[in-house]
Amino acid sequence: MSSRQRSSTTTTESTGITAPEVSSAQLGSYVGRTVSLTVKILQLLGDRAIIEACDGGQLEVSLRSCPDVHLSNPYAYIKCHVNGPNAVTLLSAKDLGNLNFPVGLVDEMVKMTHEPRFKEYFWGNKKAQ
Amino acid sequence: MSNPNPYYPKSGGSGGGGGFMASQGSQASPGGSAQRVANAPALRPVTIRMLQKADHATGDSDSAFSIDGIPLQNLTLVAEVLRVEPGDTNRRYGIEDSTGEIDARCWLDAASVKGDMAHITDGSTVRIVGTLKVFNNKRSINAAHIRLVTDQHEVYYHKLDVMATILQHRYGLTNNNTGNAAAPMTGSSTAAAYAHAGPSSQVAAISSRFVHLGSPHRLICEFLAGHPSMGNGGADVKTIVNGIKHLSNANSAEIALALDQLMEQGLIYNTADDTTYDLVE
Repeated sequence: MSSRQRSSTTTTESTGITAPEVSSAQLGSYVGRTVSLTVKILQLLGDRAIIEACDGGQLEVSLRSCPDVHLSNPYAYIKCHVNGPNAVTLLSAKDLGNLNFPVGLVDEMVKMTHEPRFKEYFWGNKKAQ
Repeated sequence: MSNPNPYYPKSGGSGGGGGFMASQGSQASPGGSAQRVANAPALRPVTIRMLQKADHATGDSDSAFSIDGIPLQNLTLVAEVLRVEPGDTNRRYGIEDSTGEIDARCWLDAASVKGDMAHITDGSTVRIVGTLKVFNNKRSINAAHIRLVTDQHEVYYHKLDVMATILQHRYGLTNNNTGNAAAPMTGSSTAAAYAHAGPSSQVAAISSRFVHLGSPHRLICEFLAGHPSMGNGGADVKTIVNGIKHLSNANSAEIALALDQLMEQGLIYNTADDTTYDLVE
């Protein structure tokens, strides 16, 4: 095989902002980190909202950090800070409108990106980056 | 573009001489097209993390990046724009997908400034086609093409595209041909089948060299690569045929043709006599 040396900067340097896309069941492993979620907006309650993640898990998201954000129905792609397994704080949101496929497929995709054979290409194998 | 890569055949040239001439006219086009595919600058869907972690053959310039041993030429990705730095001749975008962030530089001409690119601002999701460059140890993308993503489904599509391509590079295309890479991901069960049927780690490392070849070419090369007499005399036709019989239903004429084409591409050569072949290292 041809010489294939890893440049030293790539192994130690982080790749910058990472906000792994996860399902609600995985939030427990990402406490203290920023994650991305594909969610369905169920209820807007002023400074909080009830959302449903791609795996069906419902949780409450605090809107305190984004008072002006406009979460429209029904689906959004959000980045949030994980305070606890069921508590997240919204950092940014992108409107998705209607998904033209069942959201269960997003869940399948998210699960796949976390599988050992793919994880290194997306989120890395270290817990904190 | 100069291609020092030993995996890909050098331009034309029958290898090794010996008794096998490129005499059969029909060989020219299948061999030629396989070679063209092998040398074509393939477009690879990537995540930014893959770009930051890509191997860089040190001491070489920009064109020496590779991912999993496959040289990275043109890449495509979908990302969100964090910031736009305008300039006279080019525009620099800081982009991130959820896997990492990187700079992308896009050269301007009069048409592009007024057109689509005017709409690309902070928070836009964009599709970029370009190449990976490095300067002062900092990697960036040279964006040949950048456009707004209007349908958010494209973000999901891209992640799936990345995974499908990873599997294709690892296990080969599903059909015999080097044809278009449209092998869809039909679900985790099929992909799991690939994983379980996966070869041993030694052959897996080798087979990435040959994924661009069709069957039985790839099978022949993999068989020779794993054969104990590789580098030491090689194997004769009968051994090769028996070795790949259980993996391929190619008949002996197809195998003979494949051997000729592989020789033409410079991947194998004759050793002891006209019917014994070995892999070119």
